[in-house]
This record gives sequence, C-alpha cells and structure tokens, in this order.
Amino acid sequence: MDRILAIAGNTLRETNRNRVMYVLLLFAVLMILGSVTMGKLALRDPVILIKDLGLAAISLFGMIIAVYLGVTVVHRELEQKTVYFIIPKPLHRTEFLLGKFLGMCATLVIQITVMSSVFFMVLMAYGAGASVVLLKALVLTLAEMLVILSVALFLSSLTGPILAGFLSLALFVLGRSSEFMRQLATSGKTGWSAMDSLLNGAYYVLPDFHLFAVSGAITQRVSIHGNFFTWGYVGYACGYGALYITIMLGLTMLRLRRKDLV
Amino acid sequence: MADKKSKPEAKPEAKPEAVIRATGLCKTFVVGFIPVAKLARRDAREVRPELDQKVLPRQVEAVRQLSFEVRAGEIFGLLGPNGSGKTTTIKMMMGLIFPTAGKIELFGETVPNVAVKRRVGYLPENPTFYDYLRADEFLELSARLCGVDKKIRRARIPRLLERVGLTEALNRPLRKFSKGMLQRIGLAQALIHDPDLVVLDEPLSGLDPLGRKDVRDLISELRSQGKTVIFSSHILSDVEMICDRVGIVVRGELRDIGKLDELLSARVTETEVVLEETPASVMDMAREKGWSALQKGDRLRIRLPGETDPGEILRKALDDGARVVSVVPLTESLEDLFVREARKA
Repeated sequence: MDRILAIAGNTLRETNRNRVMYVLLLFAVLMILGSVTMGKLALRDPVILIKDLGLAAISLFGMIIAVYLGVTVVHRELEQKTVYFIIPKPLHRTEFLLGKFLGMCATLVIQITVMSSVFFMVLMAYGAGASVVLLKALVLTLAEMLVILSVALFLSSLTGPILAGFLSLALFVLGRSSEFMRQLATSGKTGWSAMDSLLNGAYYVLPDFHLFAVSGAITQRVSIHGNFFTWGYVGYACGYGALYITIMLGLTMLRLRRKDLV
Repeated sequence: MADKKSKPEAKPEAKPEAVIRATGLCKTFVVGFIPVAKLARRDAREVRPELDQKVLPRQVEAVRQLSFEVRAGEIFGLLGPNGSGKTTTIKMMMGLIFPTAGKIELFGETVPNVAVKRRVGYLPENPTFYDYLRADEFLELSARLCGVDKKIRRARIPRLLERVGLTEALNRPLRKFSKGMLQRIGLAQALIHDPDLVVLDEPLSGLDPLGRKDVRDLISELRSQGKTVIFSSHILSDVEMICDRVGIVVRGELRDIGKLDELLSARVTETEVVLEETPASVMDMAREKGWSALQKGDRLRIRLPGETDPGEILRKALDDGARVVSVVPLTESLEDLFVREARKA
C-alpha cells in the first residue's frame, strides 16, 4: 500500500506543479465570480442564477481537468520514459496504475474543493450560504469527474492523448444524453429495430453521466429529475460510478499488463 | 552460445550460481498497424508502389535466440554497436518489454517477478526522472518504492549522495542537473535498496573522464561487496578495465561470450616501432616493404604486420643515426574483436 501511496503522492506533486491546472482553475474561478454579474441581470432571484452558473462552472472545468489529467498523466510517463524508473522497482503494474489514479483523484478533489469554496463565498456574499442540497450536488459532480477520469485514462491506454481527449469529451456528451437514448430506443420512434437495439446497447455500455447531472435548479425543486435528490440517490449514483471506475481501471490494467514499454 | 572453454588441462571449477539466465531469447517488434500508412508517415520517400502489395505488418527482429548466463559476483559487459539489441535485452530483463520467444530468469525466477525485483537495481539508458523533484526527494521516492525502511533510508540517502558526489546538489531540482549528474543520481537510485544484482544500461555515456573513473570505481566496489553487475557500453577501454566477462551482441545475436583473455587472441597482430630523429632513408625502407609509417612531430611510428622481425628496420634506423623510442608487440584488443565481430555480421 505504501508503494501505491508513494506513487499517488508523487502524482499529486506533479499535477500541483503543472501550470495548466492553475490556468483552468483560474478560468473556473472567474466564471463563478462572473455569475455575480449575471445574477444582477436576473429578473427573479439572482441566487438561482448564481447557483446555476456556479455549479455549471465547477462541472465544466472539473470535466476539462479530469479529461486533461486522464489523457496526459500516464501518457507523459510513457512518453518521457520516467516509467523506466518506476516499473523495474518491486511493484506490480496494477500498483503503478492505482497509484497514478489515486494521485489524479486527489488532484480533482483539491480542485473541486477550491472551486466550491469560491462558489460558497459568492453565495454567502448574497446571504444564501452553503446547504446540504448543494453539498449533495457537489458530491455528485465529483463522482462524475472521477468516472470521466477513469474513462479518459482507459482511452489514453488505447490511443494518443489528443484523440483520447476528444473521445472522452464525446463520451461525456453521449453519456449526458443517455436518458434520451433510452427513451428513443424504447419509444420505437426511430422505426428501425437495429437502431433501437444499438441505442439500447449504448445506454447500458456508455457511462450514464445523466445520473450525475445536477443544476442549481435542483435546489429550487424544479429539477427535471423530480424529487429523488436524496442521500440515497447520491449513494446510488456514487455506487454506479464506483462500479464503472472499477471496470475502466480493470480494462486499462488489461491493456497495460502486457504492454511493451518501448 | 556456450562460453568458450578454458584450457583443457585446467581442473573444472565449481561454477557460482547463475544470477541471470537467458534462454533462446527473441524479440520481434511490429512496425506499424497499417504498414503502408506507417511507412508513409516515417518517410514519404520510402512510399513506393510495390509497398501496396505488402499485407503483413513490417517486423523488426531486435533480438534473436540470445542465450547467456551471468554468474554471481561477476561484472559482465554487454557490448555491441548501436541498434544491436543490448538495450532490448536489458529491458526484457527488467520486465519493461516481453520476449516474443524464449525466457529470461533472474535468481532462478522468470521475470517479471516482484520478489526478484527487490534484489535488482536498474539504471536506464539516458535516464529521465521526475525533474520537479529534488535529489533527496527523488531518492526518498525510490526508497519508498523499494520498500526500504524509513530509518534505513534516512541514513542511506545522504551516504549514497555522497558516494556519487552529489551532496552539494541535495536541494537542487533534477531539472537543473547536467547529464553527468543525472547519470550519478540514476546510479544512486539503482543502489538505494542495496540490491544483489545491478543492471546498468550505458552507465558511462555522457560522463567526462573523471566521472567515468568514478563510475568504474563504483562498479569495482560493488564487485568487492559481492554484488553482480551487468552493464552495456560502447566505451571499450572501460569495459576492458573492469569486466570479468563480456558478451558481444551484433544484430540481435550473441556473437561471442567469455572472459576477455579467452576471447582475445594472444597472437601478435602487429609490432609498433617508434623512432626519433629519423632520416628519410628509414621512411623509404618502410614504404618499400609496404609497412604503415606515420610521421607525427619528431616521431615516426612504423607498424610491422604480424610477427615480422623488427631487427632489419631497427638496424637500419640505428645505422642511419635514428633513436629508438620503443618496440611494442601488439596483441588483439577488445576494439579489434568488436570491429571484427561487427564486420562479420
């Protein structure tokens, strides 16, 4: 376990010294602060708009950071040959992968914590403050980011970082549309049974990011998800995320297990 | 390839345990997924119409049927020209790449094996490490990965840094290290867990003469501690100085293996006569005989082929007033052997 933690710690140190992370974080913070200006233009309660924009900023930049980490961190090890230092040490390739993944998870947790802190400060300035519902929304956002991270990591084991990045973004969009795909498949509106089967299959295979989709509107109980936004639901979504992450890491490991590190 | 046998009359000695045993090791790399497209990307000039007929991916045989043993406590040098398969062999040894056929065993276990890795230290060729780490942080990470106890690593890290001459660079990030310093810190990380086997891929490249001497001394010191060392190198003079046995790999095949004195012919290949204040008549005689003669400053170097008697040229030189500086019979050097094997291939 100490070896995994050593790799995770080193990964965290590496990502913390990466300027790209700070630039992305800066943009996220600017977008959250920008929600104040937008709030002033709101016709109704500005807090609703601030919550909407704040959560959207955290989700958007969290997703970009997760994809960036997933497609670059392990790839960089292979590209810069630092893997020649790690793999001959007395550890399994699985431990290397888990260490890298844990380090990236820790980076995401820190990033989302920073963004959330700014978000809560803005809300407090408007007298709204933090609430359990918002906390639940942030937990779901973090879980979603971790799933995207595992998907990007798997894709980066198959192809180069740029293509893996685009594919991860495409999967994110498709995953967010999973409910729509399922409804389309079950309604039979396509008029083509093969297409229905394909959409149905895609619904089960692709990550269901719709499960994690949250917006400030949820806090006003006008969510498209209805009223299931309980801790039970958060636990269910996180469980699904954990299962998907396990599958993605397993597939990545299968890919890396016998890969020649030339 | 089996080792060359020692003198027949010698009593057979009990062989020490084989630390490394490669048996029929082969490695073939497939170049490109779609061969024509890959070739086109590599070099547009190579794209020729006949390539369209190629349906199988291009293959490169990096290592072919390589078999050898390295015994406990010896220093083994793996020699070969660029692209001969030395690094590929070492990477297979370290579990970085996998053999296409054959197997490689360290301490009797097929690699990769975590228990075996605990006994092995490795310095990669042209090492790249985490450049944002300081020297001490990097060694701390290496020690943790090797499972070295906290107390031991606290004592060992400064000692190793001192041994490789990097004490003053303790707090400097690796990105500010020169190539020679990276090589030294690479050696330190390879030794951090006090391994029984040390595998060094080109440890002498990029080092100045002083640095090379330090590394040579370090390798000799490892032998005196009873450790086994295998290293690849192009610097033949260093190999000659420190290796117990060498293996010469050319185009992925092991061409020769054994102790240096067994591999190198004791026969005199040339006799070198060095003269000073030499009159032109001596030079003329050398040319007439077809011997190589090279005037450099005051000195004339004449090389007589094989075991030609130097008496005739020496008499002529002394009679004509020249001064004899030296007469040296030359035997085959490692460089001669290396060049001979490389040319044969």
